[in-house]
Amino acid sequence: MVYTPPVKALRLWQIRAALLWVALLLACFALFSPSRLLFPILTALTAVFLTVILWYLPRFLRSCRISCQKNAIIIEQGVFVKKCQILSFNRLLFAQSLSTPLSRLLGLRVIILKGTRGRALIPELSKKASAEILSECEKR
Amino acid sequence: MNKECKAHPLMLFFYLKPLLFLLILPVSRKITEYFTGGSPKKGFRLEILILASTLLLSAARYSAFRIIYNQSFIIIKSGAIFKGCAKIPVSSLSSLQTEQSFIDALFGAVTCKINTEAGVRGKADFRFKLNITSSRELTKLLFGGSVLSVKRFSPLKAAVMAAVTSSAITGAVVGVPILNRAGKLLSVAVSQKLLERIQSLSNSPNTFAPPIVNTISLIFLAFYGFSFFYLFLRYLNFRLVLHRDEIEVCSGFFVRKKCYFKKSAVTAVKIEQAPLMRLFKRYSVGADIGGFGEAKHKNQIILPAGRATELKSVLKTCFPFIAAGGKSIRVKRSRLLRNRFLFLPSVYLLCMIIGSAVLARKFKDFTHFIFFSCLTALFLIFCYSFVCLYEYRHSAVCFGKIVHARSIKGFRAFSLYIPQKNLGEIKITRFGMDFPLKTCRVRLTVCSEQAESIRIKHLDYKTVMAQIKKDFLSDE
Repeated sequence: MVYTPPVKALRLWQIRAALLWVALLLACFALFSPSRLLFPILTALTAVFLTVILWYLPRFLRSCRISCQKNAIIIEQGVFVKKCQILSFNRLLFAQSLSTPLSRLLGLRVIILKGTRGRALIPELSKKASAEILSECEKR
Repeated sequence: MNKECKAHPLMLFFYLKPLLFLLILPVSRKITEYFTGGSPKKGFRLEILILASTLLLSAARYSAFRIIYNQSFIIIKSGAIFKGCAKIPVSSLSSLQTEQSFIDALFGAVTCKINTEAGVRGKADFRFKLNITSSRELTKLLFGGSVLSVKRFSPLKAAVMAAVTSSAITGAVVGVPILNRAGKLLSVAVSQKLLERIQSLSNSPNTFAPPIVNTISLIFLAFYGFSFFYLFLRYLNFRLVLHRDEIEVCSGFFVRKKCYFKKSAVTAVKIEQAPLMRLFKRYSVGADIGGFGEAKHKNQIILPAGRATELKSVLKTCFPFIAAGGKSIRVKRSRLLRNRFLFLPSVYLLCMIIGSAVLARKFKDFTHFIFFSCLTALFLIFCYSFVCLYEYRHSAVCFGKIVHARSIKGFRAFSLYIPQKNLGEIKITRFGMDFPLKTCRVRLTVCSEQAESIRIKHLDYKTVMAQIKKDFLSDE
């Protein structure tokens, strides 16, 4: 069974990036306001965040793939650096789910799988998909 | 049937503890000053707002915390804004520790620490406070198998155990922070006054040793005395409770500690004998437990200082899987190999003689001090050479289903029992004189977080390789 983060996960991360962008803009205004550096800094910051929100985040979430095999769970993700993490069910000790207020509003959960000498973080998935993965881990 | 319990109200203070000196005490002081007629300083309102939101957040975290448990799982729900839910199978638990300080006892609380083999090293996986009833129910459910035997120690035995396990270093590590805190609390320079008293005592009598040596000796004795008192109180309540599949170790006087762990979670069993313990023919038994969280030492002491008969009884009842078997590989008895063990003490002796001669020639005014230091160094080298001879006579390794190795670590005799499945690495090194004499050094490492290891020197290389091939590399 293969799971991928839903569109809501992309919206969640875009909202988080936008909030961080606004916070950094306000900080720049507070620190650099009378200076000539303010405009270049604001422009650079805006360019970086627009790239992240409109290009990097969609590609990153599209690259995320979680598959539950017979003996292990495989997590693939990455844009520039592609990572593939394999956590065997034999080594799995317990699972923890985490949620923030925004993710709860959008019906999303993060799962952390903890094993002996290993840990795997499954990015935001829907409640149904998270419950399926957790029950799969419990069965094994 | 699922049981649910909430955290004890003291958990609120647990959440606020990191901010106690940074925020709570300074703001509380300012509030007191305001109400006793002072004028509010700049930023006072903002500080009040931050304190109020911190208190509200801690209260929300406390009310959100709950534990749901049954015989198969424990579910720990925590967090108010960032909510977490961890579901841990009971079979994955490696140990549960409970602590009750004086303040906990006053309010009927117990600090529980749950550990698995996952998590950050040196930190408990989950830490929370429960009331005494809930803590007992949880412990009984998880580690409440039928009790086979209980071992307690008399005050005299506790005193003997404290005497043989005390050291000046332990006394310094434990005593110095206590003295400093006591001084701050009483607004008295306790450490300063103690040092002045020691200096006056060391200056007064006419001894061969110079006053600085008397001062150092008195400081060491004071730290040793403190360590003895601290360990005596700790061992006074020492109790070893053996269940069918679990072991429970209780200790502590001011802070009562209990540690529960499964026999199956033990990765290795360690037997140590410090020099003073060898004098009193006592042994210390410890268990290397996978995932042991916040222990100061990396393993749990099962028997702090017991005789050989007690040691055998503890090993038989606690760890019946440990059985002597297989051929022991020892150091061959020959004068040349014995001298190899005495090589380092000889080098130290030579360096000490040359060094003290050079120093005595250069600093003629300090000959008494140099002579005294020389005698002390000679005594230490003498003790070390005895330890090296002990290593020559007793070090051995035995491969099999249970790997048993005996050697020394520093001045301590050290013995390790490792089930074969927990053996991480076998490292065989040969250099220099090992080639003509056909000997080798064997280092065994346990497959665990703390990677306990033992090294056995100057064993016959062919015998070791043959035994390893037979026990580890054969297809059967």
